[in-house]
Amino acid sequence: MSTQRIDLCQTSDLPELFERFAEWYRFNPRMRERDYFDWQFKDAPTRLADGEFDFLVLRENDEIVGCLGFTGFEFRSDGAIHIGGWTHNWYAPDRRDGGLALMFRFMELVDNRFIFRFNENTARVLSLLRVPMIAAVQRWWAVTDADHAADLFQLEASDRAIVSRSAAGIKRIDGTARIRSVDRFDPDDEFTLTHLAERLNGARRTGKYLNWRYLEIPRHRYHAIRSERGMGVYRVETIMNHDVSVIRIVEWTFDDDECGAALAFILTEHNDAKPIMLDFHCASRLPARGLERVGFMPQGATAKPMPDLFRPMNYSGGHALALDFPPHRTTRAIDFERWYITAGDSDVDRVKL
Amino acid sequence: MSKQLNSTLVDVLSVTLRVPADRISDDFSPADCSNWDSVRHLMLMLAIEDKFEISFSEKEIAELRRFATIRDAVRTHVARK
Repeated sequence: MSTQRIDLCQTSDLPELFERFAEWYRFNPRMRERDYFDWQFKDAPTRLADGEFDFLVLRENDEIVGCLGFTGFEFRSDGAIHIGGWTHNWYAPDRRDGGLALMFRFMELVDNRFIFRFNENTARVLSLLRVPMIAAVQRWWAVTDADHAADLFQLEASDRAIVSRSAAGIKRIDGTARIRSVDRFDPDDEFTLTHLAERLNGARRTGKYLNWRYLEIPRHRYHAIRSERGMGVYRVETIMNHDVSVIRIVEWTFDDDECGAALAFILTEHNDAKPIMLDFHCASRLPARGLERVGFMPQGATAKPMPDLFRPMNYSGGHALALDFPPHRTTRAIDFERWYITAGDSDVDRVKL
Repeated sequence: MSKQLNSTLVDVLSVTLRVPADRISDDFSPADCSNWDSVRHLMLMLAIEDKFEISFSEKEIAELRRFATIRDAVRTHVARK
C-alpha cells in the first residue's frame, strides 16, 4: 500500500524536484532555475506558509510525484485589505486524488483563493466546490499597421476592416506629456484604483509589490511608466520567426484621458522593436475604457480570434479565472467586472523561450 | 443503526464510483478503483454529505480516502446531529 504525504518544500528537496520539472515542464527550463524559484516562492513580499518556500510537494513512497506552488499577496476588496493566495504549478500526474489533496492543503493556508488559467479537470473540481469562475478574462488588442497585421494573422476581409479601425485609432494618439519611465518604484507608494471606480478590487499595487513582481523577476524585462496617479507596466515580446513584436501590457491604471499619451510614450520608446500589436488582459473593463477610445478592440471583435501567444503564434482560448472567498462551498455570485486582475497577476505572464 | 449506516454508505460508494458493492471492504481506497480520481472523489464526498445530511470540512474531504475512515467520519458527524 503506497504512503502518500504532502510537505512544504525545503532546499534539500530541490534537486529531486528540479528533476521532476525536467519531465513535467520540459518546455519551460526556467522552472529549474534556482534564482527564479526563489524569486517566485521565497522572496514574495507576502508569504503564506512557515517553511522555506511557499511550495508543496506530494510524495508517494518517498518519491516526489506532484506539487503545488502558491504566492501570497495583499488585496483590497470593498475598501478593506485582506490576504489572498494565487496557485501556481499545480501538478499531480497519474496520482488520481493527490491533486485534490494538494489543493486542499493550499486551502488550509489561505481563505481567499485566486486561481488563474486552469484546465477542464480543475474547472470541474472548482465547479463541484461551487467556486465562481469565468472561462476567460477579457482581452483587448490594438494594431499599429493594419495591412501588415492582417497579412501576418491571415485575416479575412471583414476582420481586416476591424484591424483598420484599430490602427486608425492608434495613429491618432500623440503627446507624451505627464508620462515618465520608472526604474524603481518607491516601496511605500501605492497606486490605488479609485480614480477608475469607487470600488475596484484587486491586489494592492504598492511600490514594494510592483518592484518584486516586475523589476526583480529574473530574466524578464518589464518596463514601467507612470503619471501622477496612474501607471503602466509592459514588456516587448518578439513574434517567433518574424521581425516584429507585440507590446504585452500587464498593468494599466491611467485615467481615460492619459491613455493616448501613455501609449504614444511606449510606441516612441520601442519604435525600433517594430511593435505591430499591443494587448491587455483585465477581468474588469474599467481600466480599458481609455484604451478602447484610442483603437483597442475587445478579443471577440474579429471572427477569427486574434492570437495571444507569439512564441510560436497561436490563440490560447483565453485565461480562466476563479475566485474562492468565504463562505466556501456555497452558491454565490461574484461580479468579476469589479476586479482589477490582469495578466500580471499569478504566473500568467511569463517569457516564452 | 450501524449496519444500516454501513450499508447505505456502501451503496453511495458503489453508485458514485461505479463499483460492485461486494468489492467495498474496510480498506477500499483509490488504489483499488481506477474511477476514483479527484473529480469523482469530490462527487463522492458531496453525495455522502447529501445522503446523510452532514457537512465535511475541507480537511476531511482531502483526507478521507479509505472506506473505514469515511465510515468513522460519517458516524461521528451523524452522532453530532
